[in-house]
Amino acid sequence: MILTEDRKKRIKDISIATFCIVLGTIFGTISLFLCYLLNLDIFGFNIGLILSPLIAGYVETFFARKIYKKTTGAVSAFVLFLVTVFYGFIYINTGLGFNIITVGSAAIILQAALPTFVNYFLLVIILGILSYIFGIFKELINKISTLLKKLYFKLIGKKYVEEKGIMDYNEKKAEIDINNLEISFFSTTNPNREIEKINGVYEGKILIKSQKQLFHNHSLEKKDILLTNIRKAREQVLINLNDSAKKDGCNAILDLSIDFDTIGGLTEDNIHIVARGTGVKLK
Amino acid sequence: MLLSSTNTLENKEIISYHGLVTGESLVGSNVYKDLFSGVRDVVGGRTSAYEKELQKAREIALDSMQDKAKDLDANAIIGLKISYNNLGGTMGNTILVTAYGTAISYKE
Repeated sequence: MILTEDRKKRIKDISIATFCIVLGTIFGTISLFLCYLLNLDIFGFNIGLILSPLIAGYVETFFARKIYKKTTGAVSAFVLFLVTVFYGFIYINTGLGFNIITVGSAAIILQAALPTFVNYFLLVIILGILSYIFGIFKELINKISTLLKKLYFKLIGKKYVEEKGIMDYNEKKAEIDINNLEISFFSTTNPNREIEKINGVYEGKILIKSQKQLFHNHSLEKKDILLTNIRKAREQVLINLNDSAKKDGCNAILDLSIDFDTIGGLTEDNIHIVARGTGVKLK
Repeated sequence: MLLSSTNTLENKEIISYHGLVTGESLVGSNVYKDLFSGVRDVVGGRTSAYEKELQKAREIALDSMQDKAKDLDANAIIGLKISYNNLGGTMGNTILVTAYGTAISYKE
């Protein structure tokens, strides 16, 4: 098997990093062993439990900087940390029970050992689950509210008209070809024809409502629906831009840009598409 | 098909403008891939899983745009713009890659 230069370099980098981590772990383990052998206790607490992860991390970082020219993230300190926690706090401590204090302590130890992972779990996963649950509640309350409104309108003898969300998509415009409109679109600033008049900046906008379910579902079918929605909406943005520029007598849009933004709070499930360009009249 | 982000083609004569051509594609990411990328960062590896997916999405967007330009009998696209958008907020895990430009014909 022929390895590319890039792959060879990566294998070499990983080998050096692994070597530094193993070296750090060995030094840390030896220091822990020595601390227990020499009974280096302070009020019954062996200082090896604190010192050995620090020594492991220091040795690993020292050699990584010398050989690898950058740090490896003190992985051996984490390994020693786990060893000391399991050996010093759990294995030796046979009286340790399962209660709120031990669970809390374990959570704090995890937070100290894996800050990014625990913070990600707390801030993204837990908040995500909560917002999803509240989202379900919101939908349930909306449905109850609609039912009550319908009942109220029935009681007063009027017809209930359902409120629709912000959605300015027009199905009738879906079949229009953007390159067969009265206006020519240029993503460039130079149309190769003389400009008779510059009319200013024009915009065409559209907001596609609630695409959340499609964002988080990666099945091919859902992906296709989302892509089709985006494609259709983008065509319509250009038609809207065409309509607004045509009113002022433009026949071309120069320096066209199309921006996509997601709006709507933490879950941002609405897509806002804006097409912007300079409306001109070409000879 | 010649692609250029410039307004004109240097030393080449543009015969006709065919209009705007667009292309797009989506990349779905996932938590496990994110975590794996993080681990690879620690050991100094490259986050190639994302790189490959984004590259693939970019190629699909460009190919779709070029197909539309070919349908219009164009042989180049100028004023090319490519953008990457993250959809779905904090929990967002869909990346939209869009490409658009002006289809033209030039004298070779």
